[in-house]
Amino acid sequence: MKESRVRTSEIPILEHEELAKGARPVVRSPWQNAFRHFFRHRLAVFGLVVLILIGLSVAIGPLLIRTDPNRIVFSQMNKPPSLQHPMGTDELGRDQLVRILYGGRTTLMVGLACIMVSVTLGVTLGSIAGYSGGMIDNGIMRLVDVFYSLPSLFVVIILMTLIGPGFWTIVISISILRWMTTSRLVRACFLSLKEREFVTASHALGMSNTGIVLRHLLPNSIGPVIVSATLNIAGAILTESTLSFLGLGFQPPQATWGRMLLEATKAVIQYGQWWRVFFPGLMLFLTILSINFIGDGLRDALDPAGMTSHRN
Amino acid sequence: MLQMTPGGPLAVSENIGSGRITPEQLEHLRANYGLDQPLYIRYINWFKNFIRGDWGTSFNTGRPVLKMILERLPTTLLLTGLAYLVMLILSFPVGIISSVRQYSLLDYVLTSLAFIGISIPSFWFGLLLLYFFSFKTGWLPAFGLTDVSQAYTGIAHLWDMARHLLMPVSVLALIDTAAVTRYIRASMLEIVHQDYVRTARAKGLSERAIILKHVLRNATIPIVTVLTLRIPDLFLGTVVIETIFALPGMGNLFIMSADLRDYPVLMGILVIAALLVILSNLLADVLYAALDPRIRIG
Repeated sequence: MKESRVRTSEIPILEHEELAKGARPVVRSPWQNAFRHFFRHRLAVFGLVVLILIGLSVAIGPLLIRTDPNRIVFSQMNKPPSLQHPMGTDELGRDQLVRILYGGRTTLMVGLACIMVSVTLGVTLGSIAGYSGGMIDNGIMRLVDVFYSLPSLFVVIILMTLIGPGFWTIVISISILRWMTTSRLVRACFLSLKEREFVTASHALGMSNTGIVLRHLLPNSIGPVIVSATLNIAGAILTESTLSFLGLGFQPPQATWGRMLLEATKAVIQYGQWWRVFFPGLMLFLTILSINFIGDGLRDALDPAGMTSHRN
Repeated sequence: MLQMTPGGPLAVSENIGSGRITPEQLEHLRANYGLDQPLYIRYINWFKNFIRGDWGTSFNTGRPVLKMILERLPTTLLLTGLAYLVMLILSFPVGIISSVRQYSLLDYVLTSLAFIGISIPSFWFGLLLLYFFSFKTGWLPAFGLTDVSQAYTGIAHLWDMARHLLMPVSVLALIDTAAVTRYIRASMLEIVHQDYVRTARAKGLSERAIILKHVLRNATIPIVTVLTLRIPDLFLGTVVIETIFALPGMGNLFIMSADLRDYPVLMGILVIAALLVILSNLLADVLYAALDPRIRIG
């Protein structure tokens, strides 16, 4: 009987008539289950929709509106939102909408690049620590402790002044302070997984260590990694924007949302040009909010044990 | 590590004064600040002096770093202290209410607010507040710790400072409250379903006594750890807040020094921040052991 392999909670309740007609219970794979869980989480779906909209508009927007984000038009300085400039213009007459679209590209790219770097780093170190154990494990975990105890924002700022702002320097400075959670999670998953029967069986069948890690251990610990990576994107985007806002990230005339907010500070406090602050900040806020919603939905779907619930 | 900057700490002056400063003068300046020494010697010297309380002199102002930091410390402490207090006062009731009334409309609203709070960039929030309360209505002053044009004393001085601090403290506190509330709600919910809580209910205790005496007390243990670990985060948060509201604190000093590559000052503040992180980690461990008799530090 196929049903015996399915956990009782997952067996759909079928009416007697249906059973009599020969209907069979649906058996779903873990991924299908996760998928259903995620889409039942209303806020996560909302986040996903908003994020896709933002992503599409920064990807396609600049192709449709062919205005240079740095085009200076003195006759259009400091204009509030209008049909011609839906989000107003800044003190050099640059169109805010176009700058927001281009800035969004940079900001989102930084976020994505950061998780790629930090997940790679975290997963690699975490798997080495978890699989090898002993001295190596100890060493890597102390390294994690050291990085956790760094006052992160200060260190990023100092790194910025040392190596100078540029796309990859920003990405790397942010990422090297964000890999620790991932590597702790991977290590924890590995520690429990490597004692399981199927791993012992693989050993007995002569599978190589690399093979076991890549084929069995990593795929089975992917859930918490995805959750923490998602929440990390939000953190990375926030850090980049903070850096840019403090004038230490991307330099002018490069537009990023944080940088636009920095340039708008005086305009809003002294002249009350609310559109200068409202729109870039709103985009940033919506992006981070939707990523957090998605992360929460993914946690429900992929991490039922709640490994990622703390320190994120 | 700090000293490895491209162009050296004198890069700024080299850039500004290109053509105005001769190579000989530059050499003289380097020797003056000890920048012609190898890196490790500079580090050892710095460390020796640091232990003795000589934290070096600022490249920018030429004043002792320790003095500059101590001047700025009270503002930052006041800001973080008040924000922490507000956070404590707000987050406990909110967290408790939303766990007691789990899945109610109120819980839903509070949880959503908490989500908004952890997602809102502090600088955007700050700028929006500035727009509404300073520019639009003129209720609150936009920057500084006190009104320098008026020499207030006594009560008037305190009132003036409170008006200046209201927005920065709110921004810092509300964002932190959002994060802490979620922890409190989560750890309360973990306890609510324990057997001894059901026993307490069965004994016929009042709901109030159950929540305050049985649930909250046990939930407090993990919460205290989180609360202690928020201290360094709060401290880092002041960098942004002090910049927006132009408060003369350490965060502000840090950003100014980063712009000018004033390494002795950066080092000093970094050391304080690192100490704060380590101390609050230690405090969290000690408190954890003190509150939970099952845990012994061995």
